[in-house]
Amino acid sequence: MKLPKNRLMVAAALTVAAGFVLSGCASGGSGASTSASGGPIVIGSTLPLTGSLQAFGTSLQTGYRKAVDEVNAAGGLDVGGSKRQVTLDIQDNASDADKASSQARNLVLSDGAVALLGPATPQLTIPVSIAADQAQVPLISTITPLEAWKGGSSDGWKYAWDVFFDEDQMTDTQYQTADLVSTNKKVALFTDQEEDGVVMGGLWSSKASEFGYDIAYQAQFPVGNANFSSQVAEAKASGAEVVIAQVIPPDGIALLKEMKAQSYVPKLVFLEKAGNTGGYPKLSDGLAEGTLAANWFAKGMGLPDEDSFISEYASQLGGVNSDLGTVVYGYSIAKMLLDAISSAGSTDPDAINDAIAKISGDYPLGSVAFGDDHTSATVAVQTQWVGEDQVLVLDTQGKAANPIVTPTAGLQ
Amino acid sequence: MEVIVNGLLTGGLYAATALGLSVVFGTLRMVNLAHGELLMVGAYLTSVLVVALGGDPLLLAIPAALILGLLAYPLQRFVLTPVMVRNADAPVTATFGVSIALQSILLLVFTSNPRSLNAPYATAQLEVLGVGVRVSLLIATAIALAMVFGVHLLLTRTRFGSRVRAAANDADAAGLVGIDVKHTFAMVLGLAAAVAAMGGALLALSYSASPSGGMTWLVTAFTVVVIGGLGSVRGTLVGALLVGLVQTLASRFIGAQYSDVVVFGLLIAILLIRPEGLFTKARRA
Amino acid sequence: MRAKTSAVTNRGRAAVAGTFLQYGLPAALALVFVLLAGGLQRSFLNYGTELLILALIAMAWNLIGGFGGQFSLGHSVFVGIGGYTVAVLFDETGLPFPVVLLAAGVLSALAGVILGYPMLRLRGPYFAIGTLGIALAVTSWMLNWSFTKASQAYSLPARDMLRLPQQFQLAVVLAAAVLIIVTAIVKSPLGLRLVALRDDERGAASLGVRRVRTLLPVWAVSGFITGLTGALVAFQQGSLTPAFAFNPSWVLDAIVICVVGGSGTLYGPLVGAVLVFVLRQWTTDFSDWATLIEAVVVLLVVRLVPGGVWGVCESAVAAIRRRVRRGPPDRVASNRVEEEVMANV
Repeated sequence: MKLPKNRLMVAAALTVAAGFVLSGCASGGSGASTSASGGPIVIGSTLPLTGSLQAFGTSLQTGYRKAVDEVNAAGGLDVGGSKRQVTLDIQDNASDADKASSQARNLVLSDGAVALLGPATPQLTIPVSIAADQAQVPLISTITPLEAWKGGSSDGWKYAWDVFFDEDQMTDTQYQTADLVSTNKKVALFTDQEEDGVVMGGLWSSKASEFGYDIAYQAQFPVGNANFSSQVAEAKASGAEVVIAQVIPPDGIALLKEMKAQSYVPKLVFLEKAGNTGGYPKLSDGLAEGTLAANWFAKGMGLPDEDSFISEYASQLGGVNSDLGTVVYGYSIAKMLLDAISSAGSTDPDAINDAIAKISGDYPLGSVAFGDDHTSATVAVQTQWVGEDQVLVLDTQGKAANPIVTPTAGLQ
Repeated sequence: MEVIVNGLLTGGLYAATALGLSVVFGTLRMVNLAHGELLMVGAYLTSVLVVALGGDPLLLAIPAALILGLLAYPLQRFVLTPVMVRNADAPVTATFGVSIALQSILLLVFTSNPRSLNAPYATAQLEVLGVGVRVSLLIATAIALAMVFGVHLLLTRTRFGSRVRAAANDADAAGLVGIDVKHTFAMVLGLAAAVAAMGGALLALSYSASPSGGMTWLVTAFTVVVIGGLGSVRGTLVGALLVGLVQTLASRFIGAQYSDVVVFGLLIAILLIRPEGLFTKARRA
Repeated sequence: MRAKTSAVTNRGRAAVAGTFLQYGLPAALALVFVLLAGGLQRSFLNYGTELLILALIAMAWNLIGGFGGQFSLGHSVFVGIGGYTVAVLFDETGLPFPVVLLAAGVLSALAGVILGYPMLRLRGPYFAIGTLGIALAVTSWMLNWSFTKASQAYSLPARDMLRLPQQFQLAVVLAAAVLIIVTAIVKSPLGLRLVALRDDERGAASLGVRRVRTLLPVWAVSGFITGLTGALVAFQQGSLTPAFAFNPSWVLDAIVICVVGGSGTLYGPLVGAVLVFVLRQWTTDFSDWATLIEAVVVLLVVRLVPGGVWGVCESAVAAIRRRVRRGPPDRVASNRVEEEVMANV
């Protein structure tokens, strides 16, 4: 009979609905009140602790934790006269933009975070920045190139901030480095179709003539492409002695293998993005030895606390590499946020936001001062893979540092 | 000319990767969404053996294949076959579950960094017909040919093969004449997994493997199998050669950024014009 | 005899009441939530919107995949088209919000018809691969199309973004509307033809049920709903890239939800969405293991509970009713048949 079934259905539906409504009506999140009164200050972060961006996520986590632990060990953060402990609430977004965005909202709405620390790469940072602006809670991010990040907002960011290098300056470094070595000034460009591949590819193309170089061959391919046979053949035929590539780590290995197979040994191989993977020469069975990559941290850069970070983390991260740099940057922006909360004297998001705008000083990643576009640029340098370390070859002034090993060792 | 030779040899590699899917799709009529992960797990298993025992990766791929085949047997027997019986579409979801499970296991154990198999011949080159070709692709094509014909003979000339074909055609009738259908189906997935492991090892040798890389290869494998035709192992070989050729040609003359569009376009075109593929006898639906 | 007559009349009344509830209850609940949206806790609104997005895509997929038996692996293409339509229209034109929303659905449906029409001749795995191929081809195309900024993030202007309460209200209204539409379709002659086609194509053909003519409108509606959901996703996320908007994870999530909840049932997708959503929230703390746990749960459900959770509920209710209603032995068979028929409407 229909009737008992209907009654059952109606009863079930009404119970469930009532449950939802009641839970929704419950007065404001307990997390928020704790942060306001005198309990621990909650800082949230959604990080790619698993998935393809795992290395960045785990290194950022190390850096964030170091800053928070330091403050807590000193008795807490001084806010408006009283010292309060800081709780770092980290969630794993598995390198997924949807999860990142959702977790950012949850951290603010459910866990009572008064400020957020960002994930890495534009594909995660932009959605999280949008969520922060919507929730009107400050967010500082790093490991996200500035132009790509700025492009993610049509009217400019209000609560989101980014500290990293500018693609424009970064794409100068390849040419400046190439100038340090004698080549035939012919460049072969390999870029993938991810956001950064397209942006950097465009910049490298347009700057070539400015530096006196000629783009002899240019290839674009989808992310995950493994078949480089015709591209490498054409690059080799063009006679380019400088190769600049923007590829993800697996594609980088495929590209290097193809180059070795075709005995294409350029004088300089810039392997951007892939080259920022810790231990890349080992992962590629030595093929990546001698390849170069733009970096944000290297020994000899002249950054404050350079040596103490190297001695503390180099061995556990497998060498002086981008992962170490990520730890330094993570620590720095966490420290910046904590300093801002302290100088704001309160946990009100707008007060913290204003305090961030006024930040100016030196942090382990360099000197910081935010512009009206909410960015603060750090300087990209060039490093070369020598064994387990990425050695500085072009310094922050654009001048030679350590000598460059050429042609590319791993391909010979 | 060079493009054509390279394209065909790349196709040979694709054949090795797609064979496992063809066997499953052709006999069990099951859309195995976990095939890409089987390739990757095979590559990782081989890599583990290489690190532990040292030696040539391709030789070690054989025990890796056996291990994966043995692991796949209970999967089919106890999880997938019972699901297949209920509903034509549930196996897709089940294999999707397996795919996600395998991916997360790989991530947990090996992190997200790519892995590569190395050997002196992995990056060597040879002159064939005046064209430079990668030795690893030649080897892959040779192995693919061997596997394709091996499986073809297995399916057409042995008692096991007739059991498989009988069970695939009509499981109930096969059961009535005394064929252990559950066991046969499980053996089929075991065979497919073993072949996939070898394919994965070849991939990691020529390129690289990563936990999340399975999806891309799954799609290529499906394209190959659909073009070649359901139920025809030799069709898979031809389909693979065609896909490899088309992809490399498109990459060379249109640009690699459009090569995917071209390959998928080919897949769609075949589905619209001749869904049974190029090598199956045309069937009125 | 007399008992049977009164039973028929009771049944008739009950059927009418049932129909009224099936249409009225969702509408009433939606009204309640829309009115209360301003007063509800923000985290609840947030969770609610996310949950409803999952439910919407699942309901849309269920229409063609569950009721129609056509297993689509390409539904992500509709999410992407809906989302990008919103982004482009807001950016390039000054069209008002409702028009943009509608356009997202209409364009998706149109694309579905143009791209999917040739695929509807195919069956089973071929249809699945074909739709997947279309989705991937469109994604590759979008990655190269400069009009939609290729792989760069396409952001919605801040003024056009919805605030959280409004997102929730929109999600609730859409979900109720979709549930009502799906119920209406399933109970209509088209719905009967659809299910007949799924269950026995030859038999249905002999009764005059034409394959493509039946499937096409259903496919179009499914695409329309998914396009609207894509628009909602765009409003919620604020920024799109092809890798995100066209990601196969949309359709794969829908499939998992339908399987867990009960494919081919009216309320299965809703139940499934709630279960999957709760599971995901619960496993957030074991991040490494979260996806593995979810995969194992999916496998267990598929293996042990093929009808999905709602399917189990329905069978349980039917079994209980049979036991309650069991009359004299010679009437058991006919009662059961009648109840099965009534229960499956």
